[in-house]
Amino acid sequence: MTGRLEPTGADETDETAAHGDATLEPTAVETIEPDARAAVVLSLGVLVVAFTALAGFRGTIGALATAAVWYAAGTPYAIALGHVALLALAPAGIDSHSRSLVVIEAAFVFLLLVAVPRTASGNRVRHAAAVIGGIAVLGATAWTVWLPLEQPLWIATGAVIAVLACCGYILHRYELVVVREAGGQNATEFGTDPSEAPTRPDSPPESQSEP
Amino acid sequence: MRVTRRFWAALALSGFLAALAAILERPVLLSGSVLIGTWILAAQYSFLAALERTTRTMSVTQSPARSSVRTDSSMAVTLAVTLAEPVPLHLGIEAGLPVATTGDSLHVAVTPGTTSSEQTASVTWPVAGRQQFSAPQLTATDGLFVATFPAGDRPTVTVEPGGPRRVHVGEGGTHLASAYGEHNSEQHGSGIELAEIREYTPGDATRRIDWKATARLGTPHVREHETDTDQRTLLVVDHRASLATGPPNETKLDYLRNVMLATARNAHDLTDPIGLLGIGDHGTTTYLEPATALDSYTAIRRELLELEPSSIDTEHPETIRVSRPDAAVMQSPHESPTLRTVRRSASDLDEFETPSDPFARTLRPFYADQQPYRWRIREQPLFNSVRTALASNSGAVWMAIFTDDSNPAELRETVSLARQNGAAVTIFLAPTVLYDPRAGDDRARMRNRYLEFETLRRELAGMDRVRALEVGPRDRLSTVLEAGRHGDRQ
Repeated sequence: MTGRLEPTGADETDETAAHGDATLEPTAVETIEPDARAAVVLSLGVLVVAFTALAGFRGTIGALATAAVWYAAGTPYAIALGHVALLALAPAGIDSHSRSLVVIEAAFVFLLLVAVPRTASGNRVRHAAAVIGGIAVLGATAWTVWLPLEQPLWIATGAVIAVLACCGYILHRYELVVVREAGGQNATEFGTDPSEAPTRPDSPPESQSEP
Repeated sequence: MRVTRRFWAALALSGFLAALAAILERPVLLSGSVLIGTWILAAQYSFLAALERTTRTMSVTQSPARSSVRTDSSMAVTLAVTLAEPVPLHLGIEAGLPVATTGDSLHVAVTPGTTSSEQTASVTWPVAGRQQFSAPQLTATDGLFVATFPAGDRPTVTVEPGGPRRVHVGEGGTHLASAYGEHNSEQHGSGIELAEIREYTPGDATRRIDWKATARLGTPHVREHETDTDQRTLLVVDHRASLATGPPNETKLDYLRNVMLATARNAHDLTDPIGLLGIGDHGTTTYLEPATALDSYTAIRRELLELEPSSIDTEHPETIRVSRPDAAVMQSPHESPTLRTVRRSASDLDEFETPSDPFARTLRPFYADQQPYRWRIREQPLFNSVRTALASNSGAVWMAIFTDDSNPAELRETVSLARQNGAAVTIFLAPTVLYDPRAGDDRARMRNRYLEFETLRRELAGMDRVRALEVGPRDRLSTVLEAGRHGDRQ
């Protein structure tokens, strides 16, 4: 285990990521900014308190397990384990524990906001906006389909997955159109040295062999 | 944009929670799925934002050491990446070396926190032509997403084929000003080009009277025209061992070959009959009668392209290229063997068969018996070959002799013989001092050797209907002339 407060599982080299370049050894996106550690500890503490309030000692165990999984594997695994634990700790449904559940979900959202990946360094506000926007879009989709439209939960689930796929594709198009365009503008045809302008391909070698 | 296994794992977690939510009808699990989906989207957005920042601040250059290189030579190519500020992505950049290059692959990696990286590799250029680099391929990843796209410049390298580049043809260091042109027949008669208007003399045909000139001048005048004639051209090509002097692909013969090909082409364009007389160390290697047919020109061109020194010069073995260079023109197996084909066949035997192999043992005597010489001549092969050729060409011939200055006595006799037979002669001489790799060490000696050559050239050029030109590398000639001027000042 490392001394840093960072998810260790995320440091593994990914062969797929290194596709096309054997020297590329990426660390994971999960590697968080060093100055976000305190906020992460705070969010995990809130989780422990909320879980304890929800289910007592069993909740504490569940929250600590969630924190341990976050440390070992990363945020998505922690969220998955935390919600499976919630399923076990609140079998009667959300009605009787709604306040505690809201606090727990808020703690997870807080964790998402503060566990800023290194790719968002210098860009935290926009990353936070992306998190909030994602939650708003996906959450609103699920809520709208499930409650106002009174559709079964499986339809709401399908709608969330469809919207997630659409958002991912939109970002992919954004990369193709905007990001690569910015890179293409920097490319030049013949290098930076104007003296290296190519000669005509059909120009003959210099010769004076005219008898 | 591609995704990694970690991305699929996160997406699978989200899908698992969503499926569990649908099956168990527990909305709390759906909220977990929403949060993981949000995490994925936010990570993707941050990756793209970092990528955009990277492409905006990054500079990738592929820098070949020179913009021009000779075939089969190596040249260093540097791939450099510079970032205006550190970026949080792992970057790998693969150089876009032209396809027709060989050597180590060239790539650099930039880790988060660093702003520049550079690597140089040696690249070999075996194919002549204008080779343009592809744009370098940038691969950026954060562990979840991978983007690969071209970024950077695309320089061009001109790969020049081996052989002479700057051929000097001229007299006494001054290159020949006149280009190709139709030859002057120096005879008047019927034709198209007007030569002169002269006064009528009895015996002139009345149809040749220029009536306008007659009316203007008061006495009958006739028009004379240049006679249209064909100039029978005989290329006398000396390819004895001394013609092999010089660096590989830049020997005397290589430089002279350029002039030979240009002369043959010029004669062909003017539909002049053209023939070829090849002289080796032990006699005449080739003799083609002057003829105007296209086949004749093609055969001469092929012979000239395949011409090699007839034997190895023991004084300069390191300068001789007797390996099997790729033939510019493939020769049919039904044609008579040339020096090159005989050597190639023998070389093939040595390369693919062991000496004790029965196949090689059987064939080797046949190759040994193959005679590349048309006529064997014991002494003065140039002189005797020209005498034999002139005996079979009774008409006026323009003779272009391609040789060097290693045997001036024989050359003088040959030129005298040609003049006695009514031939006009142009001599293309390769001065040994311009090709000898050891000559550059002593400038004074180099200057003296060139002066000796120039004396010979002037002596030959002073003969009637003889023109003597020097052929050599222009840069070496400049060095010699500079040495001469330096010597004069001293």
